[in-house]
Amino acid sequence: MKSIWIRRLFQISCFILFNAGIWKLGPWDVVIPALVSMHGIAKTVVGSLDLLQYMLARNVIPWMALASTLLFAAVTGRFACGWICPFGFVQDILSVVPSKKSRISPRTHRSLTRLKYGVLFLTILVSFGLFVLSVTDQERGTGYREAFGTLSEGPFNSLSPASTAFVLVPQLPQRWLKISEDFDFSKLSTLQGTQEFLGTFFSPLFGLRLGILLAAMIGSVYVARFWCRYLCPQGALLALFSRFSLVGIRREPAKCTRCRKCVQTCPMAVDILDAWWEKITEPECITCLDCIYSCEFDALRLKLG
Amino acid sequence: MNLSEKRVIGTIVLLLGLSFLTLGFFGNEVKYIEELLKITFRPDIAGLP
Repeated sequence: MKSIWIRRLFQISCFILFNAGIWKLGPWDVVIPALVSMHGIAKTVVGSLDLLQYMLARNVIPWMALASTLLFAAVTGRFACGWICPFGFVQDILSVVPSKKSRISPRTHRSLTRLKYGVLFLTILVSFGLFVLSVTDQERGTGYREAFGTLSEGPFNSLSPASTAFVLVPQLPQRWLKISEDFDFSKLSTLQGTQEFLGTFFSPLFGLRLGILLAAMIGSVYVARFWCRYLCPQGALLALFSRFSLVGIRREPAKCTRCRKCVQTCPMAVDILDAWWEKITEPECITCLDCIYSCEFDALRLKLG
Repeated sequence: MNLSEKRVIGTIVLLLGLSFLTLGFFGNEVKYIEELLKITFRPDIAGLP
């Protein structure tokens, strides 16, 4: 329990700090490998995947975004997912909602974890593909960019549930108020008027984004860290290098009774008992430390180096 | 892959990260971070009615 509260306090502090622009604090030129897409005026830091897409769309090699990812992954693994990411925090809160938690078989779980690498691959493919095309053949590149529209600038952000939750949804009330000033609500009594209303106040892309957000949120109620486990490309990017991280977890075989309490506590469903005991740096591990605190036999501890 | 091999690769990843950071600083990429901090990233609000 102690670990959970320390982590929650850390997550809340990060969430407040990332939005500290509201209190005229920041911005700080810091790039963090987490889903930190925030409202323009409030944000104080930048997400590395956001920066990667933003810079590739401007035909610049995103050294800073890559550096942030590599440095965080090499030192702390996926610590950013477990302790810093605002969307991870939202999912942790949702997992507290009382519900019958779904048990996913290890085989299905392993297959599903590969999905996030697919999302990452598609994001990089679109961003990097258009970047290469624009650099080699500017005219064609511009043509493709226009055809892709907003998707060319940020293929992941255009659908990201974090962007929807933290940027799109907060802007909706203001936007709807503005549109409603010009809309004739008396038309709503007719079918054509209702269609016009729906066309004005909602868009297909908005519906899709809202659907993805709701699916991620509902999924998190039944499966802990649903989005992080199976779909997050930012987590996938970190996971590629986190197995070589400085920080890991050590299991003492002499003390371990293989009671599996650590495995049951793990929000990312890492099979700690199957991993090599000397240093556990599984790509799925988000270093939340829940396993260490759940062990009654003191068999798990943090290992540096 | 044993632990010492992982340490070697980890060190290479760390050095690669530091090299990229240096390249970023020399390429004046901080200006893109500042830009992104000032604006609302257009794809973030894609689909806004």
